[in-house]
Amino acid sequence: MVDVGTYVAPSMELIYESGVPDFRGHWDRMLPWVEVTHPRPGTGDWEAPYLRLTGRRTWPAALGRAGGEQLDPPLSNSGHVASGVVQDNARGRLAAMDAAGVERHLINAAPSVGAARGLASNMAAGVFGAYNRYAIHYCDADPVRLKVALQLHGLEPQWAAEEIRELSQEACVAAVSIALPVKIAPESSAFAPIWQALEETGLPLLHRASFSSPVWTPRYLLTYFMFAQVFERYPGLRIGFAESGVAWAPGAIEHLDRLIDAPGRVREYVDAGRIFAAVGPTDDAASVERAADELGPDALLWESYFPFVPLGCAEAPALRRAPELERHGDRFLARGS
Amino acid sequence: MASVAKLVGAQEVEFDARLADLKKPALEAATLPPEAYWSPELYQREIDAIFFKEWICVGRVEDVPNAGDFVTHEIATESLIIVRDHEDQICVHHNVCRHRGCQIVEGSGNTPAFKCPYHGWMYGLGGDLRGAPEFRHTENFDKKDYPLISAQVEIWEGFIMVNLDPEATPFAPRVSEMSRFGIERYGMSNHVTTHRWHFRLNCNWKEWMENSIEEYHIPWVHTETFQAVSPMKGWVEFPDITDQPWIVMVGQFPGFSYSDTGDPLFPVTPETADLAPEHSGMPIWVSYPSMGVLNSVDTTVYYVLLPDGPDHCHLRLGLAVAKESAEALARGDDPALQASHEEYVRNIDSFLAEDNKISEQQHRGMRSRHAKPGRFSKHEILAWKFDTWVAERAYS
Repeated sequence: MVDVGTYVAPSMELIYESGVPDFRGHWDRMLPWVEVTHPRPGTGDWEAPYLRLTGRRTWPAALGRAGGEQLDPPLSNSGHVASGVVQDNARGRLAAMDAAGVERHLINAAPSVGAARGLASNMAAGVFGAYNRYAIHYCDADPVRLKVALQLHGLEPQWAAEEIRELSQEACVAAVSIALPVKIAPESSAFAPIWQALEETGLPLLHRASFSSPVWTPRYLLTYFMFAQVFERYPGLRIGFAESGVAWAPGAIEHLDRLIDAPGRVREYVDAGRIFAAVGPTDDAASVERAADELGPDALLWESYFPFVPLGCAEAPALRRAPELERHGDRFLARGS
Repeated sequence: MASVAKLVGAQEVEFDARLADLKKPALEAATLPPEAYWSPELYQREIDAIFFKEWICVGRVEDVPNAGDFVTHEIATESLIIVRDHEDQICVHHNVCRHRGCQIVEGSGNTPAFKCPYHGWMYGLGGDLRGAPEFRHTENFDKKDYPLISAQVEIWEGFIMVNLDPEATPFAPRVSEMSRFGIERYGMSNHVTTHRWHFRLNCNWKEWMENSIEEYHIPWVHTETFQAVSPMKGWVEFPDITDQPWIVMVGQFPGFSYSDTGDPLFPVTPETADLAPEHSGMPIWVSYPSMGVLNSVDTTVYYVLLPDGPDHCHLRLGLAVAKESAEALARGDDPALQASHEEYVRNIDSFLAEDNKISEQQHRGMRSRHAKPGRFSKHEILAWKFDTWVAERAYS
């Protein structure tokens, strides 16, 4: 089983520690956007308060009141996530994976890291860069089973491209998520360095709904990839859609397939294994079946949101289908496949 | 005692012999030898045996009201960070980075974490090492092994008490007998500091402390201030308290305050109304070695002496009033209350100036080659007890 939707939420102290010296030197610029959060025992969180980035200016009030929101309660197969799994306890995560029968985790940045999008883009890039290095360090515990999705900023495309090339050397790096901004028009060539870097490294793009501007819905991005000829110009580029469920996919694929003026055929890209969609805990069985019919069963991934699975989703019908999705995750994460 | 004998050799008298005279009953005893007030060697003994071993007041809880608020404090060579952590606990850490010993912060402020300015090690407010950049390749390095060194801390009646000796016994039991004199009735834990003083004085810390616990000097030093309301005969000492690390003397002036007339201008703490007559008035408590509290029916004045070499000390004082009054003062919307507060501050300023001046003057005399041990009057019994305690702790 490969789970492409799992998270770490390193504290700002860990982010700070992993940053490049220049980023650490500007630490004080981060403080207005930092809050203290109280951990919730049993969720894989730390047991002592720590600092977390928010997308809004908080200082100094939030620092004084220590009133940061707690993490969402988890729902893992074991019913309990060991302390620190979401921050620095990679061994605890591996144990939880064993208990749940999961072979691999693709690790993404929790919203507390994505909140960096609220900062100036160079500072956000500093946070994401630090996060990427931290995540790679986290996965050192088992680089075969723990995989990293690099977190990059679309407003810093040149930096993002360099980051992809540099960090793709790490064995655990298996995908890339881009914080796509609302400010850049779809036809802009600004993103070209990023797509080029993905093409060169063979890493897939994991498009996470919570990480990009909300305008970049799966359907919109897929349409852009079609009409901006991204798929055409970068024939090695693959994309997986996460945090959106799969209910959107059949209609979008069907619609794109009917557009006779499209520069490519979306179904060909699906069949070529270039488009994936992740089944999430909230998908119902009917949605999963429709998506499998439209995309083909090989295009479905699985994501659990570990350790943030919302209560009440453990028995979601889609999860019962999850074992069937195992090989697709491996295929998605295999570079250049 | 070789170093001490060498030290006082110029005065041709062994220090031990002089101490023997101090240890006689109060009215037969001699005062501390003058060199106890200026000798670097004896000063170091006091630091090692007293200030690094005993409970020292480093402020009030309202000094750090919010999570992340911190102040720094020095006890001799030791710089301390007093901070309220994110779990609302007050912690005291040695202000020394565990990497290469740099002092981490200066002054006071509010911070979500402490970051060493030298190489960027970052600590949580509780002292745990949260960030050690570029240390992943250092062998056998675990951040858990390098927290800030913390000191023992206790909150007593709103005071932050610190002990640098990890083996020290708790503070509260040491002063529990104060209850016999009704100290808790003054409502200190509900008081909030509204004015602070800080002096660096040119005197030995013991000189100011002795001065604060004897009434003998009042008619001469406080001619402009206390004498009007605090005649020498109005003080009751309790010399029978021989086995406690604290002393108390009570000015027999029921209803005393720091106003011009002596009448309270702030709301009176009701619990003081039914104190026993001998305990009622203006008690001065001294918790050895260097903390004093002056209660009145409507305020708390407190002080802390911290030595800064044998010839200097830091004197920090605070005026605290009931929380409700403090909040009204902070709002600034009650001119009458504001005026009362200014009156109190002005009067305290006045008697402080008298005490500070005489302590510095005494120190200049003590530095003379011709200074000799003196004697104690019946109004200086507590000073004798204090000196005896210092001598036993530091010089024996």
